[in-house]
Amino acid sequence: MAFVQGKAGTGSVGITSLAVTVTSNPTAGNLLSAGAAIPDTTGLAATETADGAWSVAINHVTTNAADDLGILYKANTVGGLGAKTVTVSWTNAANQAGVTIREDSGVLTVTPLDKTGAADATATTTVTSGSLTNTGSNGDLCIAVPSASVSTNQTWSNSTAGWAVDVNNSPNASYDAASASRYQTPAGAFTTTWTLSTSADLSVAVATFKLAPPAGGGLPVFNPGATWRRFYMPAAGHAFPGTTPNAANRDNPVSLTESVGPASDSVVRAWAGARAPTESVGPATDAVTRVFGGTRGPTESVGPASDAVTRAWAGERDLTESLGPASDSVARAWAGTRGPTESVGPATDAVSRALGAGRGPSESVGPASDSVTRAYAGSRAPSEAVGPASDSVARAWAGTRSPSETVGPASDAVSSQLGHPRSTAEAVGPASDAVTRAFAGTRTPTESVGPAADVAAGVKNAGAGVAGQDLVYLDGLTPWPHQTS
Amino acid sequence: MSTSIPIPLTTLFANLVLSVPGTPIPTGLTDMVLAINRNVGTNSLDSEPTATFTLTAEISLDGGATWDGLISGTFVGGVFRDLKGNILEVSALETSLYGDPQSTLRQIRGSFANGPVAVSISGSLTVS
Repeated sequence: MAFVQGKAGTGSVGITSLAVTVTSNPTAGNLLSAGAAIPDTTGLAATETADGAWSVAINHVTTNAADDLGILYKANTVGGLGAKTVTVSWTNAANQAGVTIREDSGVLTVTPLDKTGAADATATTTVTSGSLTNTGSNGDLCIAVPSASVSTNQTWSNSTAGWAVDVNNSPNASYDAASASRYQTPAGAFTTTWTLSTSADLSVAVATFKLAPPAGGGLPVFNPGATWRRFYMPAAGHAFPGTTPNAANRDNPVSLTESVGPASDSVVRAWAGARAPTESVGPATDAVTRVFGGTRGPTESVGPASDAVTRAWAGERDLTESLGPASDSVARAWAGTRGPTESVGPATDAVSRALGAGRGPSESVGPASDSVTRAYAGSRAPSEAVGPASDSVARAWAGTRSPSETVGPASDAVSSQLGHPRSTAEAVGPASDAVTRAFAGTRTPTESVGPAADVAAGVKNAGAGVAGQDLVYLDGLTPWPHQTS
Repeated sequence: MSTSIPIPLTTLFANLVLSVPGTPIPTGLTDMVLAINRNVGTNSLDSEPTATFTLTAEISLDGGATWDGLISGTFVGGVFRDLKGNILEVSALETSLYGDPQSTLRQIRGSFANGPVAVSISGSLTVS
């Protein structure tokens, strides 16, 4: 960590931007920063061609007659020729402007800005910043720039312990610009005081940037198999806090107060050590897997389970976990018991009746359609209707006809071989040759038979004969050769 | 001992560039000022509030073979006054030089790049 180079540039009367070129091409990875003192810092910005636009660390609008102050920066510069000329611009044309450009090494390359602050003083020769406390784990680079209501031909100085004035063009006929810095390691509280050679309204702006770990440093690698020795060096003027170490007792524990900040969310729970009382753990995030085998702490909370939580999970649900209604796509084959809050809509027609389980009270079934086969072995529900038997119903059907079924008059196709006497009302039309009387049933009163045809005239009925013994004759004809007598 | 290169009164049409040629920098000098008078000529900067212009100063460390930037600023026309109401009549840029102050190869040059409005200027490039 070091101040590498710096330069001041000033402009006057009607100026809206100022481009200042430093002596050497900046080195890649370094911090570039600019201090700007302008009467009105509205629209304050900085840029160079290598890195593009810079960030504004602080834009301080003064409460006195001193010029406004801004500190802008670019961390981890690309460096090179393109980063050599820095242009600082603002909106309203200024009567005077002072810009200090500086390059510092050893600063964090990512989000280095730590603290900013500013202070104003009226009619005085000194201005002191408010106390700021840095937080950089490796210390901070602190940068301070001043401004005054009398901005020409005066001399700036900063004699605060630990501070160095790195860029200073004062006294100057155009503008008195300066920038001071200090490296504060370890981080802590600080102030800085600028002094002007004449009494005026004064202001100071401060920005601090976190330092990178020392080269070759960083966290030590823990080797569980190594033998670790404890050595503690007491501060100057303090007695050793325990037994003075020597070759015999150097491994003895020495009481020191260790402090550990709150654990960050990224602390892995697999960490096996005991947490210190001052460590806190925020609520578990949803991403915490439930396969975690440990016990949840009292302060840990779990949000409602998402729908994606599989029901195959074998554990018990927590009281705060809720499940929405089961969706229709939930398979009925699911063997578990539904919870009180789960509901199932009416079964759709597509639900197979082959389902062996009993239907729920809320399930309904519409009337059977005509296509329902009568071969279905179950009982029809009262709401099922059956239309009249169609003509195509086979008469071979063995059941009893219902009252609503009708049979039309026998057609001529009815066989005449009926073996019983005709009733009185029966009329017989001329027997056709094709009629067979084999019909065994009884004719109804409405059946009529016309006169017997000639071919039936010779038939004589022997009365009550016995089958296989009686002889039937046909007049004028030869007895049938196969009949017995 | 300082040295100054005068810029005579000139009226520049729109978008023209007035160059101050390269001049050796006497040894031992460390600062420069490029100054322009705002209230000279028929088209003074004070009388042209819509005028814009850019002043630039460059340095050479090798006798004028190559040039590098020192400072540059963008300005506007119109009348500017200090807190006491006095009109400010000079626009200027000032910065320090770099390179070895004892080198005889250092040179300096400047330019006035005019914007869309014709203006009249005079001034100087001074090294001290």
